[in-house]
Amino acid sequence: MEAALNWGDAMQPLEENVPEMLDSDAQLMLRFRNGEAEAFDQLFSRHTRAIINFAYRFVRDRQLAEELAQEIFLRVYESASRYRVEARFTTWLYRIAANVCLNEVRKPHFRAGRVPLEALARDPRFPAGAREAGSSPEKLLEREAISRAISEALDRIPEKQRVAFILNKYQELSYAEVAGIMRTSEKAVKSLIHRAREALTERLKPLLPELLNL
Amino acid sequence: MNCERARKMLEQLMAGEAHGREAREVRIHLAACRDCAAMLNPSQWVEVLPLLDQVIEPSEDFARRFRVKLESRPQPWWKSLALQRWPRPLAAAGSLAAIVLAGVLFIREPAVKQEPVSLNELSVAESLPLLEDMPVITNLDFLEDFETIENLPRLIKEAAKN
Repeated sequence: MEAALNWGDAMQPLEENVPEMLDSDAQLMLRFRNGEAEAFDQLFSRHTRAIINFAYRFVRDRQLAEELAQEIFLRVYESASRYRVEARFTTWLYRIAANVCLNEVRKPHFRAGRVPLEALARDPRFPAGAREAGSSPEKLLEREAISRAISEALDRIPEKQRVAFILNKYQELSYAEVAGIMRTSEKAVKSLIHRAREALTERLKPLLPELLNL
Repeated sequence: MNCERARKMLEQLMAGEAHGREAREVRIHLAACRDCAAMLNPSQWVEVLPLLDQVIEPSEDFARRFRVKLESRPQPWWKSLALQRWPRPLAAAGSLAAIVLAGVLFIREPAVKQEPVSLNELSVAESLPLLEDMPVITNLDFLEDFETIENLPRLIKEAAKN
């Protein structure tokens, strides 16, 4: 997995003298590489929320998710001099993010802290009734219980499937973008997501009617 | 989005042909519409999961903490020179001065390489006032030779006795 998401190797860069062809994020990154500190601030503001939530899908801990997001932005900052426009900026960003998050969840202490899905099903705060979930403390707790159930199910699927599923379903990236991030083919991404969906369906099947309050 | 459109889009969502805002709108409809949700099979339910999951907002001081982390990270030794913080005109002026200095040193370098100075030459240099009186010394040498010539008969007698 590490090798699949290794972003350090060289790819043929696009022409950098045609900035109008680049996405605005890539333009900002090039400006930052050329010494404009404000360009990094803009990138940081644009992607902070998405990156924190991406990290949260892996670790399910707000504080840790923020720490990982900081680590991700730090790597972006420090890699600026080596940045080459290969694809969309988000491809590069999420490749860094996926590596940082996977490194974290591979740590033994992280694996040790997982709660069994069966225990969550017995949680009195479960089921959620998502459609009625408002902002009352009870509903927020229910929502947290749903989140934990989904998290536990996601934790149990293989890493590649999890990364592909999160990038496509949560970060709303296309198969082509996910393939770019994971350095694989669209066909492979389609297969990974199909298998992830099947695995999640199997694991969450007993809980799904309650999750959707049917 | 109406039910018909949402159900049509669901197929595209499952096939990976819908993403971004379009995908989000389908999920929002499916999660909010009881009729549509009732028609979903378990595999399709999974498509709605991201909408049911928690979304967190960054802490208020997230950006500030990042700045602190950025500034407190260990720097490579060459960055401690803080050269990159120098204003560009100053850096350019420094570079120009270095080039000019190198040029001056190059020009002042003699074209012909001199042999190293020997100790004999040093002693000659130290005796320079004496060397200035060299004609006198030469004459003295001549007088010295003259004495030898003057004593020559005596020297011959002595040699004959021996």
